[in-house]
Amino acid sequence: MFEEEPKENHRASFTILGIFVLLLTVVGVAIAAYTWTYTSNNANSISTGNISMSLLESTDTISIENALPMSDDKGKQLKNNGTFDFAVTTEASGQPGDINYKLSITEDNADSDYTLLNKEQVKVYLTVLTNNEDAENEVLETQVVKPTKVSDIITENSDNETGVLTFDEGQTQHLTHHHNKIGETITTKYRLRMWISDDVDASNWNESTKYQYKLKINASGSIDPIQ
Amino acid sequence: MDNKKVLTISIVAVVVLVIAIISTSYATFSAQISGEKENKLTTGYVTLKCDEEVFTLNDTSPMTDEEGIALESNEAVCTLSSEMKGEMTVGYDIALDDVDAETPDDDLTENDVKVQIYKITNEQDPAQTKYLQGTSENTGTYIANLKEKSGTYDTESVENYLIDSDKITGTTQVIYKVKAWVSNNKNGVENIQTNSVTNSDDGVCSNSEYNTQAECESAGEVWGNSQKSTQTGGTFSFKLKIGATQILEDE
Repeated sequence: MFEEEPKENHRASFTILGIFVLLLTVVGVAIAAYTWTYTSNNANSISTGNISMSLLESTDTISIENALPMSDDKGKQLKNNGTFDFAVTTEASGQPGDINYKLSITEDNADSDYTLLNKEQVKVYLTVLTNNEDAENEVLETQVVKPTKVSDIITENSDNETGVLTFDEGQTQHLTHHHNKIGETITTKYRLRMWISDDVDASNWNESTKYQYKLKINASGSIDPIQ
Repeated sequence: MDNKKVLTISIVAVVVLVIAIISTSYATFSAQISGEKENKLTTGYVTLKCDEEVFTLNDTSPMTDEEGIALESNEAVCTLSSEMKGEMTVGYDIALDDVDAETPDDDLTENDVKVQIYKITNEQDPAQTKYLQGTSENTGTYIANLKEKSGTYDTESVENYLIDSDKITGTTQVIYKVKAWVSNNKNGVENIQTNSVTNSDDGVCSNSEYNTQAECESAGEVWGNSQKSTQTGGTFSFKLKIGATQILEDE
């Protein structure tokens, strides 16, 4: 009797161990039954080209001395020191699209010895310059911003004394550069004039009164691709 | 009484003898019968594959969702096919992989690129097209929005940029499509003002054919100083990845 007991114990132990191993095998097989991982060999790629915008400002700036109020008709005829030419150029090396831009003016501080004129006292006038195809080297001017008081451009709500120039109806097409070809460069040339409005009362101005008005031009652009 | 006892003992003895004989008879009987029916186990199989179409879109420009979705040649496709002999349910996660891995330091990032993601389970029935990860028929989502989305079934392989998690059984096909474009929020040209100018040149003509001020101005061009703002191009890339595993019935 005493010799039989260890055999019974061994049988029980082997049975339990066998069941345990079987269980582990079944569970193990179940967990690893099927897995699959796929990773692409080739990448999808999207790239953009370079886009640039330039503002070219003439070295010949407006420098009018001894300015007095003048009519719009006369102001529009100002020449030489009464004009300031600049050009906006855009270039897109990538997919053709439209580059839209705005032109704005920013009031600048007067020189130390001068007092800044009131915005209502100064008018600006903008034309676009095109080369006359019928006459070599002849430049044609087309009005794009009618004579406008600076106070109507830089208003009380304007930030940083900067206001956007509102182009005349029918002239806003100049503010869009249609890039139809890759790498195309497009330039639009402008001429700015400014004068003292003829409704300004200059009767109190004298030798000791020194008024001045200064402004700068800005261009800002954004992209609108061709659909 | 003695006869009865003798009789009783005799009957008992006979019964015991009969039992003994029967027992002995059974003990000596043995038989072997082989069955004719075969029990067998043959294995089935499960095959998953992704037939891919990749795209390369160069020199593109920022655009709206509507324009990006309408664009052609900007669509990554994975036709996920399963073939099963036997019954199994497989759970899978499909995700973007190697996102911007090729040019991580340039100007085009996952914050600039949008995608529209959808899957087609029945090409004959457009109503079964399902748009994924917040995209719709008309809108996309920035790839950056997928970054924190991890897989459901294969969390080790698919830790982020999840496109979809689903189950697949039997022999079937699901088509995944990812359209990508550069968002128009990435406008290229900012204000040409002192604080945003990236390049400045003195003595420049508005027409590059002319190199001197005299030539330039006599041709009716503008001569002066140029300030230039440039947005350099960039490249963004991604791959597709799938992790799949069997789903046990008790899960």
